Amino acid sequence: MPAASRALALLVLFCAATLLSACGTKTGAVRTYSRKSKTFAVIETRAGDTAETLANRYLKDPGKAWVVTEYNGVTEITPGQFLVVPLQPVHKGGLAEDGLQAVPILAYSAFAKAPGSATALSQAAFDDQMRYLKDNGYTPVSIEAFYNFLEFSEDLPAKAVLITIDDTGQNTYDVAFPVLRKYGFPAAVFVCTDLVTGKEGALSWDKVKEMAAAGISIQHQTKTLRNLTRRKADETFEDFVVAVDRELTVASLEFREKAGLTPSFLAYPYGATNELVIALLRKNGFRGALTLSGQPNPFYTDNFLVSRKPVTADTTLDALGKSLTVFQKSGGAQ
Amino acid sequence: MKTLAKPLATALALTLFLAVLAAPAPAPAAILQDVQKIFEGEKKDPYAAVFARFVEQARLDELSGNLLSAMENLRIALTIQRADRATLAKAREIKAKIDASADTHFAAAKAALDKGDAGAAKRELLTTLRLNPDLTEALDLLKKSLNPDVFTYHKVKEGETIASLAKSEYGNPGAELLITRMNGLTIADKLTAGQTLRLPIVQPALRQVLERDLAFAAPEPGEKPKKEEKKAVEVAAAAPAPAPVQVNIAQPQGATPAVDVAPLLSMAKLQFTNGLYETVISLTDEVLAAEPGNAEASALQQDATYQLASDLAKRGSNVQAARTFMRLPKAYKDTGKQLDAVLSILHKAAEPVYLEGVKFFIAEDLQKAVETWERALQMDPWHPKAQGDLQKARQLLEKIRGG
Repeated sequence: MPAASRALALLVLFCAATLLSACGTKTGAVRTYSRKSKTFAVIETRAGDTAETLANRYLKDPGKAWVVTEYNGVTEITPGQFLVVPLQPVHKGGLAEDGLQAVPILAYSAFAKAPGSATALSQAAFDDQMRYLKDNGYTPVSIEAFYNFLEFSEDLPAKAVLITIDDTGQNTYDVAFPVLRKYGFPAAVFVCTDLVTGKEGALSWDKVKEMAAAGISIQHQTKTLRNLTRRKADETFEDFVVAVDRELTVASLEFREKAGLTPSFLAYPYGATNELVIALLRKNGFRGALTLSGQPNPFYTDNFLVSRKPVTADTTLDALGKSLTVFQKSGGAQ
Repeated sequence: MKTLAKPLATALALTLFLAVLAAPAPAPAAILQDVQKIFEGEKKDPYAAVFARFVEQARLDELSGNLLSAMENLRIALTIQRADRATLAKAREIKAKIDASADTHFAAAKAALDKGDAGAAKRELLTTLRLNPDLTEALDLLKKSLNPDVFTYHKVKEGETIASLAKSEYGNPGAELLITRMNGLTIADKLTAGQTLRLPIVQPALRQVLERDLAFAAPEPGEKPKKEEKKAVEVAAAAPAPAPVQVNIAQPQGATPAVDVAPLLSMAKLQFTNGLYETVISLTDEVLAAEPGNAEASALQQDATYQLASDLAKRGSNVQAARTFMRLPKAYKDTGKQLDAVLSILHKAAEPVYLEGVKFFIAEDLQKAVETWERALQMDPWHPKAQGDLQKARQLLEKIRGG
């Protein structure tokens, strides 16, 4: 016992010493202290600080620069500023007194290098749309961050939007990917594994891996693009269940083997789903799935009924702007 | 410090009757700009001045009934001076008030749900969560009340079997596979009374019985059916009726409004040249659902089905090959000939396994016989005798187990 208590006393002394020395460095000659609690950090900015470096230092994620700027209502960081950085989500679910946040999700499905196609969006038009998002203060977020918002574990920027692409064609790489890189926007690309052939017009696994390495989230869109809600006229119920299950599991295996990826989100082919499909997704460990029903998503949206707005070649910037509702006012009707 | 007395316009509490809730979105930017000035002006110890400013702001927030904002400002103040006793006590007091208010709203939400007032319940739950985001119970209830169930949970009753549940819950003997897969069971497993099974909801149109489904039905066991039917009714009554929300996802969402046939068809053609026949079938299915008479799509689909079946046969995936050939008219190209060849390979391969099952049956090891015949049927689902024998053995087994 005495030995133990002596050890304890030493430990306490040691801790106290390190604490004191830490204080010493903080309150040294140059007055640059910051203070931290469980919920907030209060800091005086120094030369070289940016929203990103502060987010990286205090939130361990440079992608959360928006937390620093939005909370303090600043756009620029200058030395000697007094800033408060919330260390925990301050409005989970985007809940406010007069309503709540909703996240619009854009679903792109076909790209073309040059304009002129009736269905495919040209690179110039896609670039215009991404610039529109940037100029109007929208913050594209990753699909993982979006699902953290749905699951009430993380906040999103007030004007968060999610960019998704359902196209296993080569133009996802040739046309969309460079534009996303140019703006530094995260996005999710939904890949149908049978279509990854590397043949003319199709993606190859190398390109899929390259996009994944560059921060694009590669997700799941079945093995063959089968409409998972439709049982064929000559198909037994048992065969139907097996076939739907295979669309999920065989593709998942392919993702793992060919690219070392484990997608946990699915874009329903043609946006179609039902209870059985969701049950099979849950059985197979998926975290969520996305339809094409159009409306923005408040946090209480079902993980497997997340809705996206299709964007096509004839979507004007005006129409795009209108689909970007980021807040639902609470009225009597809601 | 003198600047602190400046009254702030945060007291725009419109909803006076819900004073506690009148917290604007926590956007302390205005205060922070004010604080910034103090910080720049005060050279000696700016943090002390700033601390005082946050405490003062919290006092004003509390006066205007804005407890959430008060709490936030107190937390910031306590970040600056964590040991300030008066502030700590104040923070505790306000936190307790907020939590109590959250509990009140949560109780109101539950009462509204009991009354069937979904709108009021939703409002109350959103308020509850805004006040106390850590109340996971409220989060679960909100999500559960707004989102459809995809499973029903079935408590097994005495005498129920996987086969009887397939019939009573789905009206389709082919649902046995769904029940076993969803619950990590095999078809030979015995259910125990009281065990809970997760049963996915399946809309009636999807589980319609085809004649081929019936091939898997247990033969009518003489006297028994009456008893079994009675049980089925009981189970159906016990099973909760699907809530109306579920209807929402019965219709494929967003699928029907704008199926643009032309790009699907041209993609199908491209994938045909790439040899991706399964994808061609999926895509043409979608075209044909939108335009049942589309001759081009249906010709393309037939050809893709034929190519797929032939490929499968070449690769030795004979069960899949047979299934795929069966989707074509026998007269299509050499479908009939290829199908017969594949079936005969399957029969030959499964025959020894089938005979092994017969041995177990004769030796009265029913469990082993069932398992072995199951295996024979996996190798050859069209085996002429295995199916019938398996059903007989399963019935016997159930009789013995049922006592």
